[in-house]
Amino acid sequence: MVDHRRFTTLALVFLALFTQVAFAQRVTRGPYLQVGTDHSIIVRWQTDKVTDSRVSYGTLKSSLSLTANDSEQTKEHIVRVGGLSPDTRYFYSVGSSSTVLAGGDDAHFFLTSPTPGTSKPTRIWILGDSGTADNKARAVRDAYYQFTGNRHTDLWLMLGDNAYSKGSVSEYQKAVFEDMYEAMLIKSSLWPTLGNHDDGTSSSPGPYPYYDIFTLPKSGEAGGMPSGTEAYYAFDYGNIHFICLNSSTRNLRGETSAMWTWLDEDLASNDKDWTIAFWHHPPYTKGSHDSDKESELLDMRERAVPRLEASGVDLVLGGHSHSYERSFLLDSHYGKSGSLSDSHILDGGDGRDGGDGAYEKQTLGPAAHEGAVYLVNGSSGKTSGGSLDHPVMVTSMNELGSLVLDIDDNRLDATFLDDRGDVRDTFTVIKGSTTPRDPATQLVLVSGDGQSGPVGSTLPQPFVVEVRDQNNRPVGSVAVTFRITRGDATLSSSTSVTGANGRASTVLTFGSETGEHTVTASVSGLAGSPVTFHSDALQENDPPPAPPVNVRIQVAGE
Amino acid sequence: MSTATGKIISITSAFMCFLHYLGFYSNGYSHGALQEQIMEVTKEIEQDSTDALLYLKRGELYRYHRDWDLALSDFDLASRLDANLDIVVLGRGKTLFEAGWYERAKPVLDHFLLKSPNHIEGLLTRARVLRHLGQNLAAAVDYTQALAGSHEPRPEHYIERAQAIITEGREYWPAAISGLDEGLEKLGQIVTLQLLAIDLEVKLKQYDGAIARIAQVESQSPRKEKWLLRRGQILTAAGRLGKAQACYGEALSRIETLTSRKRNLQSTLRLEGEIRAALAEVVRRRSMETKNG
Repeated sequence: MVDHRRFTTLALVFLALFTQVAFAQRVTRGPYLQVGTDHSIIVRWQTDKVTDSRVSYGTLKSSLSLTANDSEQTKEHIVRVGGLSPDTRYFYSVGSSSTVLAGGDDAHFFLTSPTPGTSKPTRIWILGDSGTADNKARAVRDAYYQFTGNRHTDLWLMLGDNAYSKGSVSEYQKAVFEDMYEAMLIKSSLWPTLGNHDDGTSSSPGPYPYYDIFTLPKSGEAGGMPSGTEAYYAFDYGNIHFICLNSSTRNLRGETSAMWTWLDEDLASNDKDWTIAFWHHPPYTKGSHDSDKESELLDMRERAVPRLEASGVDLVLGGHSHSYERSFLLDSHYGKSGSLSDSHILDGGDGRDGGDGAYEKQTLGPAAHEGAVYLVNGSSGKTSGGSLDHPVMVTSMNELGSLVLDIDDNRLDATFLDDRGDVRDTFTVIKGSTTPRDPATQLVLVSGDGQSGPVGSTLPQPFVVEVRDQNNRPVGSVAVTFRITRGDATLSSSTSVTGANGRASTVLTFGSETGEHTVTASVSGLAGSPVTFHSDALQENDPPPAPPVNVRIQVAGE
Repeated sequence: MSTATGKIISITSAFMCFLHYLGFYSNGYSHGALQEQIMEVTKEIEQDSTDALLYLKRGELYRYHRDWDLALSDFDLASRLDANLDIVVLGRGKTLFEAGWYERAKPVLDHFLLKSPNHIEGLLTRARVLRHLGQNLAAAVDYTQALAGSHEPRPEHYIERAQAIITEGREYWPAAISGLDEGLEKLGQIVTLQLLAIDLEVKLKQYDGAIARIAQVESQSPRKEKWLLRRGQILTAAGRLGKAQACYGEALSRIETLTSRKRNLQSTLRLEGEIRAALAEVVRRRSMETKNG
C-alpha cells in the first residue's frame, strides 16, 4: 500500500515537472524596443510557443503596477505601451497574462523621449553594416559599451546591412538578437534602415524579414509626416528631426517616387533645431564602393541631397562602404568627385574644437544651404578598403568602429570610436551662435532691368536684387516680394528669400500684351524699396530685342 | 540532364562570366558587392552545374546589375534544368521590363500570371509593363488585384494606379480619386496620396472636396500656416475671395504667434512672403470687384 502511494506521488511529481518543462514558454528574441516617443513605446519579443501578451511597467522597479495587454495568441508579441510621461524612466517586464518571462530588473527599462521641440542632452549610437554576427562586430559593440559606461544611450540607428548576407530571420537572430546587442535592445529604441543585404537582391520575392522583425512609424506617430510605409519614415527626439530614407529599393529611388513627395512635405513641416538624415547608400564615398559609379549612390546624391540641403539638413549618415569617411561642411555638390570646387566647401577645416574650430551654422533650426556633414559609417562589422580618397572628406579610414553623437541644445559632437575603444575622429557643429549679423538696411537692384522680348516669351535674365546692411554687406534670409505693377505677365516666384550672398531673384514671362511691363521688388522698411524693373513685350515679328542692359546702382560707401 | 548538356551549360556560364570579368558587359552600374556575389555563385555553379536554383540566383544578380542578356541567359538555363521552376518566368519578365523591352515582357508575364494569378510582384510588374504599352485601364486592373492581395500595400502602388487611370482622360479622374481614398482608408492620412487627390479635385473644380482634404492634412502637420496658404489658394481659385482673405489672415496670425526663432527661419520668412503676396492679390481683386460694382 505504502509502495503504491509512493509510486503515485512520484508519478505526480514527475508529471508536474514534465508538464512544466514541456509547456514552459521561452523568449526566443528580445525583448526589444521600437518607436519610442514622448508618450508611448512599442515592446516586442518572440516566444517559442503561442501565448497572449502582457507588458507590466512602472516608474519603480519594485512596483510594475501598470499593464499593457494583447489577448491575441501569438509567438510574435508587439505591445504598444501608451499614456506615458515625457522624459521619464519606466521599468518593465514582458510575458503573458499568467507568466513573467523577462524583465522586472535593473536592466529592463526605457526612457521616454523629451517633449517634442525641447532640448535635452542626447546620446545616439550609430552602427553601419554591422551584420557580420562575429567577434569584429562584438569588439565594436564592447568598445562602445566601455565608452558610454553608465551614460544612457537615448536611441540607436542601424544604417543597413544589419544581417549578412541576405537578411534572413536566422541571420537577424545571430547578427542582432543573440549574443549581440541584447543589452542595448532592452533599454533603447532601435531605428534601422534597409541595406542591400537586408532586402536580399535574391530571387525570393515578397516582403523581407526586415519588415516583420522591426516595427517602424508609418503614421507619423513619432513625429514628422506620415509616410504610410515602413520603407521610409521620420521621427523626432526632442529638438532633433530624423529622416530615414530607403536607398535599396530601386522603385523608391526613381525620379517620380512618392518617397520624394513625402520627403518634401516632411521637410516643409520640420521646425526642429537639428535635422539628421540616414540611409544605406552614401552620396559620397571612395571606400569599398564608389559614389561616382554606382546607381544607388548617384540617385541618392542627385535626388535626396538637394532636397535635404534646401531644407537645412545638418548631418547625413550612410554605410555600404566598409570604412569610415567624414566630410567637410559641404553644400550643393551634386556631381561626381571631380566636379568638387571651393564653392561647395563652406568650411574646409577639420571641425574640431582643438583644431580648426567647430563648424558653425548661422541658424538654429532648418535653414537652406548652411552646410551639412556627410558620414560613411559602414565599418561596424568589417572593413573592406578602397581608395579612400574622396575629395569631400576630411578623413577616411579603413577601421572597424561605430559613431557616437552627443547633441545638447545648439551643439553636436560626433565621435568615431574604433574597435579598441580609441577615438579616431571627432568634430563639432554649433548652430545659431555665430557672430550676430547686422540688420538689413537697404535694397539694391543688381541686374535684369531693361530687357525686352516677344509676347509669350520668358526673359533671358532674372530680375535680381540684393539686401545689404549698413556696411554694405549682404544679408541672407530676408524675404523679398516681387509684384507685377504693369502689364500682363507671370513671375517664377512672387517671394524669394535672400541667400548667403544677400540676393533674391525672379524670372518674368510675358503674357499676350505688348508694351511696357514693370515689376517691383520690395522689403518693407528698407531704403531703396521698392526697386522697379522695366521690360518691354514686343510683337513676335518686331525686330529682335536689343541685348539686355544690366544696371547696377552704386550705393554710398560701396 | 545529360553530362554533355551539363558541361555545355558550365562552359557557357564560365564564358559569360569571363566576358563579364573583362568588362564586355559593363554598363556603368558597377557594384562591387554584386560582382562578388556573382563570382561566388559562379564558383558554386562550377561545382554543380545542374542546380537550377543557382542559375536563378545568378540571373537575379545579373538583373540587379542591369546585365540584361546575362540575366536572360541564366534564366533560360534555369528553365532548361527545371521546367517546373515557375519563378524563373517572373525573373525573365522583370528583366525584360527593366530593360525597357515591354512588348517582349508582356507575354512572359501573362504566362507567369496564368499559373500564379495572384502573385503580387507579378501583377505589379505587368501593371507597369501595361502602362508603358499605353494599356492604362488594364494596368489599373492589375494594380487593383495586387493591392487587394497585398498584406501591407504601399502608397506608391496606389499612386501608380491613380496615375494610370488619370492618363486615360478627365472622365476617369473621379475613379482615380476613389482609388486614392481607398489607399487613405487602408494606410491612414498620408500626404502623398492626399496631395494627388487635392490636385485632381481642384482640376475638377470640386473645391469643397479639396478643402476638406487640406483640413485633414493640416490637422496632422505642425506647420499649419503652409496648409492655410494652400486652402486660401483653393478658395481664391473657387472665387471665394472673402474666405480666402480670412484664411491668409489666419495664417499670418499664426506666424505672429511663433517664437522669434521659428518666425525667423528661412522657410517661415519665405512662407510669410508668399502669404502676404497672396493676400495682397486677393485684396486687389476684391477692391476691383467693388469698383466694378
